[in-house]
This record gives sequence, C-alpha cells and structure tokens, in this order.
Amino acid sequence: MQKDFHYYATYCAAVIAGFSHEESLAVCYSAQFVDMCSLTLLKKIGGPPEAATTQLQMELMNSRNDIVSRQNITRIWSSFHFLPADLYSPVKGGRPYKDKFHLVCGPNGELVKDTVELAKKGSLQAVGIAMHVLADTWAHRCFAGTPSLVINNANSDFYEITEDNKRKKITFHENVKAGDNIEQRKYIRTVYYAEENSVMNLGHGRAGHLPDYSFMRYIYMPAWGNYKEFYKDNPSEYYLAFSQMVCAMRYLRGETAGFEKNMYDTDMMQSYGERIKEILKRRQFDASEDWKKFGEELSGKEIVPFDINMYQKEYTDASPKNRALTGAGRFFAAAKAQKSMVTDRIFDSGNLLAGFSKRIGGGVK
Amino acid sequence: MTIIKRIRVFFAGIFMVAVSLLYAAAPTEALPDITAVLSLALLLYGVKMMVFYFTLARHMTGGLAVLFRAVLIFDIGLFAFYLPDVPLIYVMIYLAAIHGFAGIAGVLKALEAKRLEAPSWKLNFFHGLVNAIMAVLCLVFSKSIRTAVLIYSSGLFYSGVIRIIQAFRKTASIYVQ
Repeated sequence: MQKDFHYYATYCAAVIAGFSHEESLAVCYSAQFVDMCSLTLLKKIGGPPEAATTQLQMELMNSRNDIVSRQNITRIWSSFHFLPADLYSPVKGGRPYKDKFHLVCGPNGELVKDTVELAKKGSLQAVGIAMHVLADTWAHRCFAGTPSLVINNANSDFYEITEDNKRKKITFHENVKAGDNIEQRKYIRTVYYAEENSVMNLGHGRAGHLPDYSFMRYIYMPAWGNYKEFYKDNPSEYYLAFSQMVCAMRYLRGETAGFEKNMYDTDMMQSYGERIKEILKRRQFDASEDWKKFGEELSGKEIVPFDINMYQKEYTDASPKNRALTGAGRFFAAAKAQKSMVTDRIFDSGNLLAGFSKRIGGGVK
Repeated sequence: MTIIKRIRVFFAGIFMVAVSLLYAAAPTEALPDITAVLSLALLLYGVKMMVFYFTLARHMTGGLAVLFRAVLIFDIGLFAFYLPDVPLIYVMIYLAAIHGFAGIAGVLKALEAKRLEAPSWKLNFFHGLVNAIMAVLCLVFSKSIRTAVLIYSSGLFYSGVIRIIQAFRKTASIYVQ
C-alpha cells in the first residue's frame, strides 16, 4: 500500500472509529512513518537502530547475503509489511521450504490479532503502526517478508480483470525511469534473479506495484501455488482492510469489548460503503486527493500533508531525557515492541528465519 | 560481523593477496590455474543449483527450469575442465563481464547513497570505479597472457585487501529488544 491508504485512508478510518482530528493525525502519521523509518534515518537523528521499520533500497543492496543480514531483513519486513498469515500451516516439503512458506503474508491470521492487542497497551503511535501492519496483510497477501525466490517469484502470466470481467494481458519492464503505465498495462517490476536468498526476491517486487494499487484486479500464479492461478481483487480487499481498521480502532479506543479475526465494521459499511468503494475502484496511481477530500468532509478539518521531517525535528530538538515522550520516541518504542512480538512468534514456531529476540520484560529466549 | 566471520574474512583476504602476488610473479604458468579455477567454479555452481532444486525449487512454479540450468552449467564446467587450453579471449570476456557488472553496481549504489546523503557513497564510488577500470583493461589487453594474468592478479589483490580491511571495520549489530 502507499501513502494514499496508509496516511489519508487511515485518517478517515480513525475519524470514523471515533478519534479526534488531532488523534487521527497522530495515528495516520505513524502509519505512514512505518514506510520511512529506515536505519539511515535513525542514524541521522540518533534514534535506536533496532526501531527500523523499513529498509531503503540502498540499505538492502549493501546488506550482506549471510544469515544474520537475512534475519535482520526478515524481522523488519515480516513484522511491519508482510505479517505471516499462519506460522503452522500444513505444506509439503522439507524444513527449509516449510520455514519460508510459513512466512507468507495474509489477512486474518493470529498475528494480526496479536498486533492489535499489543497496540491496545500502547500509544497513538502504536495504533498507527498496527494499522499499517493490518492494512498490508491485505495488500501484500501471498508474498513473504523474507528473501525467497521459491515463494516470491512470479512468471510473466499476469492479467488484469477489466470492469466487464475480461482478461487483459499485463506486461512488465525494468526501466525505472519509464515507470508504470495504466493505459497500456505496462508495469515495472524487479528483474528475475535466480538466487534464492537475494534481496531482489524480497516481498512483492516480482509483481511490481500491482499489490499496492487499490483499483487493480488481476490474476497471476504465485511461485508457491503449484501452477494454480490466484485472483487478487484489490478494491474488495482494500475495502475489507478499511473496515477492519475501523473495527480494530473502535476496540483500541475502548468502544468495543474485543477484536477478533474476520470482524468488520458493518455500521461503517452502511454509512460510507459506496463512497469508499468509489474511491478504491477509480483507476489512478495515487488516490490521496480523493481520500483527503473524504477525510476533510468527515472531520470538517484540514488534513496537513505528510511531512517526514516533523517527527525528526521534534525528536532532535528534545533533550535526551524527554526524547521518549516525543512522537518519534513513542513510535520507536512501539516499533521495537511489534518487532519483538513478531520475531518471538516466528521463533516459537520453530522457524529461525527471523532469528530470535529478547522478550521485553523477560529473559533471553 | 561475528568474530568467527571476521577471522574467516581476514584469512580469505590474506589468501587472496598471497595468490595474487604468486600469479603476478609467474604470469605464464598461472593461466592454466586460473582457467581451472573458473571451471571448478562452474562445477560447484552447478552442484549448488542442483541442491537448491531438490531442497526448494522443486516446489516452485517453473522450478524445473532451475534443474535444467543446473545440469547445463555443470556440463559446461566439465567441458571446460577437460579442455587442454581455453582460448584466452573467453577468459578475458569472463573477467571483463565480472568486473563490469561489479563496477556498474558500485556506481549505482554510490549515486543512490549520495542522493540520500549517506557517507558511504565515496567508498562505493571508488569500488565501482576500480572495477570499471579493470573491465576496460580486460578488453583492451585481451590478447596478452601476461597482461591478462596481471589484471586478474590485481583484481584478486584488491579484493583481498578490501576483505582484510572489512575484517577490522566496526559494524553495528542490531538486536531486537
């Protein structure tokens, strides 16, 4: 997902869930900041390196292809962008294959529930992080947050499903400057790299940005799918993601008693369903303007554009003692807790691809 | 980097420097060794790909292509191993391709690092530049055995020195707490 959903749509969901304008801005800022908080940024402002929630292309290229680096990559990407759907799902194959397969991302897994529960104890920044993670389980389903050719690869058989339900061939290229072209159905994607653990095989790179566009409906064959076609209906799934975010945030505000998997906010669907579906279906790369307009109608207040420097300035201007109380400080604490929780769960399942972590408030596992 | 890894990288660096000096001292005798190493590399890569197929890729859509490639590379490795004399031009093209790719990757990394104001851009740029120069030299002097071996040796020497430096460089370990 992109800024349109992580920032503006998350703001809309927060307002519908009952948060005030200021609280909603804190939540959506934090949700978007998950895509910005790299080690490079943390070094620049003197933040804790273990709070990194993403990696820049340059950082990935510089990382060594050894087990320690791969575990670091897996911790970051599985915890924040590709939350595993089922760490124990039955699958044929040896241990190396099973370990990778178990990290395939998908919605309504146990870890989504754990993520929301973790945010319940935390700050607004923790809520924002949880909303980013939850939303990405829908967009990034079928891909894993660990470098793996046998899981994340995809061949060239991609077809867009048009409004009249016809298949139209999607073609790919690797020219970054040319970018994506909606009209010609030409999209950029990472090059095929026949090295299992190469960072080129991390996440949904082989499907380009298709998982991130809310309007896109397409069919393709996931590498792990045994030649079966998989239909990905982004507008419908993003809609469920939005509804689930509202449901989760109502729980986090204390409005509802609990958060369960497969729970969606039916009130929201009745009141705003058609408007949201309309935004999601529109064929455009960036739906920020539509979401912004909708959000401003909801709250009656202006949504300021996302500014990456906002957290940084507040953090660097604060005295070392008070840094933990800043927005960035709270974000870092929540990010570390999320990463620790997910890493622990993966480790508990007998899977060492994310390494191991110290339990917060507990001993070393 | 762990201590064991540092020790491994350090000794690998020392070994590479020693071999490069040895080759530079006796260029004519070194060429068969170099071609044997290249053949061995292809054989090992073929075996590695076969292991990859049987442990992981056989579950992948289109994974059979990995097995075909593995057998083909292994076969080329065997073929090259038994050739009494590989034409020099192929050795030089191989070397030029390796250095050229490393050079482009290094410069691209440097440009991105510079755009992001990361201090590592100078080192990346230097690596890229050295590799690009090596690639050009390989193509320019593709007919001389002596020059070919000297280029190969200097590349090996440079990589060895970089490894030794890396073994002593401070790297931050990141732990999730």
